[in-house]
Amino acid sequence: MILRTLLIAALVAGTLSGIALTAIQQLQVTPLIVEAETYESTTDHAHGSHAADTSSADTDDQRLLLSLLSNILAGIGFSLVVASAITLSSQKGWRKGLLWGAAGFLVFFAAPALGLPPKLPGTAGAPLLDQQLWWISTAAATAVGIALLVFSRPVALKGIGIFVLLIPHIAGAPLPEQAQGLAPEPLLQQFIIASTITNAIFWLLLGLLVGHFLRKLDDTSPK
Amino acid sequence: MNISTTPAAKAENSISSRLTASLTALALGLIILFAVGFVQGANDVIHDAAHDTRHTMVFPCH
Repeated sequence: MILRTLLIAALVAGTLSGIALTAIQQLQVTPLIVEAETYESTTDHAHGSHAADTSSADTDDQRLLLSLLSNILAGIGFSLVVASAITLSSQKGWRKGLLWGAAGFLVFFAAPALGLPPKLPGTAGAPLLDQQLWWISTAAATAVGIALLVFSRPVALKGIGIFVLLIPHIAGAPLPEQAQGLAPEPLLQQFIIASTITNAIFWLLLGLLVGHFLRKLDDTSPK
Repeated sequence: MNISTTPAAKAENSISSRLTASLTALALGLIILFAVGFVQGANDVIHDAAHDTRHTMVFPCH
């Protein structure tokens, strides 16, 4: 019964926050990515199926649909993680959910973004695998660090929590040999701000919804 | 807060069943996130489909 509640709550909350993410993304973020691709397409950097020269309505529709689908999947994936944490800690309800959403924002966006800032297409980066490994390690360390800091009683453990939070940033993110992007700096700045705001809204909404639906389903399920 | 009052309800909400359900959901969630955020796929097909999501959510993309 508990697992069913978890799955339903994550499915509903994830789908709703994925749809909301898509709406904000279309307004705030995608136009900047598309603009960056116009700089990218003038170089020989091959980049998937959607270069700037494919701007027909059909391609735009397909791009929107694929983004919606992957945003909803990301929403469901993150909701499952948050629902799992909320259930383990018995902190249901939308208010606690907001706090869990804020934690998710720190773990999965803010901490990785400190080392690997939001990148526009065409921005140089270290080898992809190195970046991915650092990203995963940083998210994991941030989750453990925050958990120790918030839930442990002894001061020594809280101190260890802070240390664990800092480890990935002391080690440092993998950097490209030559840091340079094709898109102009103001566009990149705009993109960093837009994606930060977009993720903050997404995460707070996701946490709120997961907390709310976990409690609602728990109240109505047969005991 | 939803406080379980009967012993039966307490048993159902026992720590071990909560733990099992939570870990199952966590594993499922991480598998989905790995697919959306990290897998490139043959001919980069998954990368291309999830491209804008990855850029928006700071998953390393390139």
